[in-house]
Amino acid sequence: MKKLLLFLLLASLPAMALDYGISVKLNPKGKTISGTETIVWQNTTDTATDILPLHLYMNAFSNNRSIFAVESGGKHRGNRMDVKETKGFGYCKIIKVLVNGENAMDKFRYISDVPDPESLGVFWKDEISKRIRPDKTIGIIRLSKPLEPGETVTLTITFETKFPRVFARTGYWKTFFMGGQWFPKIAVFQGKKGWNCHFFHYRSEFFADFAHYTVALTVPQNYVVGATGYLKTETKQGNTKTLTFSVDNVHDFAWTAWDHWKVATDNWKHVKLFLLYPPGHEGTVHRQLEALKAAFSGYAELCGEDYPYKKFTLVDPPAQASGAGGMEYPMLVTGMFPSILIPSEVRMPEMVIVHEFGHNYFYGMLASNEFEDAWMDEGMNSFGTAYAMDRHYKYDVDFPFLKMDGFDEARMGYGAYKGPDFPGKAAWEFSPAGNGYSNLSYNKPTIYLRTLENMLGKEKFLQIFHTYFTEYKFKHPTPQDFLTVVKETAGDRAEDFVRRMLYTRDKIDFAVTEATSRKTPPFLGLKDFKPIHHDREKEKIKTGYQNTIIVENRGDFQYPVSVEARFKNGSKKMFTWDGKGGWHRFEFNSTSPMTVAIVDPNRIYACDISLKNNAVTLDPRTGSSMNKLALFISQLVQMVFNISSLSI
Amino acid sequence: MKALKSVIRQHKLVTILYLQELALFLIIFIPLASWFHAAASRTYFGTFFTVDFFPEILGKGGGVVVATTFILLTLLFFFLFRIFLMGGIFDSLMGKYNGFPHLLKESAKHFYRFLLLFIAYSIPLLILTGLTAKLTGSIAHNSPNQAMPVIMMIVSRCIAIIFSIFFSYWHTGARFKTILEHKTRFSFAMKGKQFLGFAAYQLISVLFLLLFAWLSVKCLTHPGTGLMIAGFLVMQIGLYGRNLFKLASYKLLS
Ligand SMILES: [Zn+2]
Repeated sequence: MKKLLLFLLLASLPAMALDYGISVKLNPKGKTISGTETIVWQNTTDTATDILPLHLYMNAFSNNRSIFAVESGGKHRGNRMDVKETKGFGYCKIIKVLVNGENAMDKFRYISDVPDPESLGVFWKDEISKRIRPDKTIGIIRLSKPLEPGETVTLTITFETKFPRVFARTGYWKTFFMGGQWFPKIAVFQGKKGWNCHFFHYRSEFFADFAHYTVALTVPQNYVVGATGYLKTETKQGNTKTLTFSVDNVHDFAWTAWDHWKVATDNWKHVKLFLLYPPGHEGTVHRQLEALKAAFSGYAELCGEDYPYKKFTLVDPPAQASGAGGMEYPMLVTGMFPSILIPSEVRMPEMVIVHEFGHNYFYGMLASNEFEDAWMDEGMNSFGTAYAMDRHYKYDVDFPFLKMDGFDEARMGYGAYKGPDFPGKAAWEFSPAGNGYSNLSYNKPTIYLRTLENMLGKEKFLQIFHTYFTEYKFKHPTPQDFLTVVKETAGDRAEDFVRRMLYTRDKIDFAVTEATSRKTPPFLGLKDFKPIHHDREKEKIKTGYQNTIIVENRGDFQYPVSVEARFKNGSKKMFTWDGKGGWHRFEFNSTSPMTVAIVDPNRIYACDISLKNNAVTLDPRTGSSMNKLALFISQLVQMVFNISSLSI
Repeated sequence: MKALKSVIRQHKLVTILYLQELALFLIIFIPLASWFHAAASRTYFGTFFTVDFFPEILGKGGGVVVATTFILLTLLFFFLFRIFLMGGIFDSLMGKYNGFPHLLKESAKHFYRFLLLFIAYSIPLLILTGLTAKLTGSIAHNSPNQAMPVIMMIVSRCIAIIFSIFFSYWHTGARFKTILEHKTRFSFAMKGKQFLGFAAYQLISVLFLLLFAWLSVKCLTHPGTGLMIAGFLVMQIGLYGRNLFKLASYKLLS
């Protein structure tokens, strides 16, 4: 009965149980944005709550002792925190809080001011080490009486956000602004499991509920603005203008403003595309829009549905604000085109665009918890990136002499990883050494999912992603949800493979350990105790080669594998092995000598951690790429010597 | 043209410089090629050369560090040896080539003077080009225009080339003076017409090399053993030509 009542109650609610109304003004000189926001939040769970935690992430940049600053050492993807000037820091200051219209400022505390913050149960106990005092990236509002299931609360918050000199996703450079994580945002309430509100960590990203947003941004007249949502109105007042955006069903709102932005537009099916690029990047517009459209098509194929919103903005930040690049927000992402000299054969800017767009599926619509399960957005999306890039371009690096696709990149990254971790961990639980977080959250899922695709066949594999997307879009899927879809769609073995990828260090490594090809010697001695008579002419014709191939399974998965022998006359011979028993010997005769023995010649096991041992070459070629590489390096040294001895 | 003709007549001097560069090539190429073959030609990469070659072969066992150190030390030695050889080369450019042993003897005589001149002219050149790079870099950094880094890079390189030609001109003049007077002599003399001829030969020499290097890369990046050999030969022609024009620029000042 109680459940039925709750159901009726939920059914009668407005479309969105969370509504943000934000009205702010940008002060380009002070690098601040200030104003008020109204959050209408409804308790849609069956559990009451007496607190409301807020994310105040800009406080991660307020000093060099925040959890983010300590964990990152003030560095993010090669960009550095500007600690020399106070101007370089950022913050999000709460000025006033009203709860249902009544002043509740005395009920508000930054988490650093809450005695015994662990007792609130909003973050994980192991999340912060003793040496870092809780910072101010979480704010807590205590309610005077618990908010019961189905009840709604209205918060009116006056706040000021100061942007840091951009180095990690959000901030300013001169008059450029990238507004990410810029407003107080309510955490996710999970009923009996309590609040899910993590600190802002170096590695982790974000987690929030889907909401309706209305955001009014006041900026100087000459600024060009790009933002999440649809532009509803634009009004002018003196030398400023106010742009109002609104949108349903997104879990974050980001914007950018700059007086130098140039705008290019295009369309993909029903979606209006906007590219905001800096002056000087005119020549890259075509490349960027092509990549964006390739991403739309690639992810639509992978997830089985087109991007549902009617607008999308791609931001190409200036190189001086490269820290803002390569980040995802709903309906708006930032790419990165570090130099106009990047040749069209090096598709790294394209890859970043495809990746960041892809997050509108894996994070934007499939809103998994980025703090706790980074592989669910980064890992699945890195696979999606490689999939979409492969589908449209084939290669990420595409020179006649060197080709590399997204799966190659991921395999090489993961192949170098020697640490103790696996992907199924919270972002801060990875050992800081050895790039564990990026190798395990991005690279490992990419090549393991590619392996799964090869093992199952494309159709069955896509069925997994189509089902996963249909069932969990606009929800918060968990790792178990994905595993269940894998099991129900593709069976136990597929589920076992994905589970072991996530929670063990099990690997795949097939190797050819020995290959020989010898002329069959003439039959000498006695046969049935009588001397053998030789018909030399006849034997000459019959004499062929005796070949041996020994393959080993050095990995942890006992999967079948094929083995190929290639011969000098161009012919091939295929064998299969069930992969069991550690190793296997193949013996066979041939008329032409064997030149190479290869295990897994079709590269089904894309996650095989070493390619070097996948073949034994018996007949190395001379004019080989190795000689050319040595020649190229030596000539380069010669030329460097010659040119630099200009005046000698 | 007169300078070029007389250097062609003294082609043995060009050959000496080129042979030094060929020796540099062989010293690098033989160990590199042997390393690659020993490590990989019997593996997967002996049949399929993929990008995995780099992490799996080059990235293992600190080979790259050893190779880089070896290359840098070799380069340092070759620079010193080139400064050494230049004493004999300049002596021959002023008079005539009297055989390699004589050239070496003259080289030894002038080595420390030439080394001092090299350092004396290189340091201000490095400081000036460094300052230019810093200035152009800061202009690029402060401009919202993303073409500015490229424009400034070109400007900075052009200025660096102009500085280099000036310093090379003075350095060359000083070297001839030093040979003539048998003691270290500096020169900051400037004869307009002679300088223009010097600059023209220097620029031609660099452009000649860049053109042939580009052709060589074109050959090397396409499959085939024949093209590999062609790529090598084209590059060597470029180097020989560059040395020829460079010596012609020096000859102008003799
Ligand atoms: Zn990502």
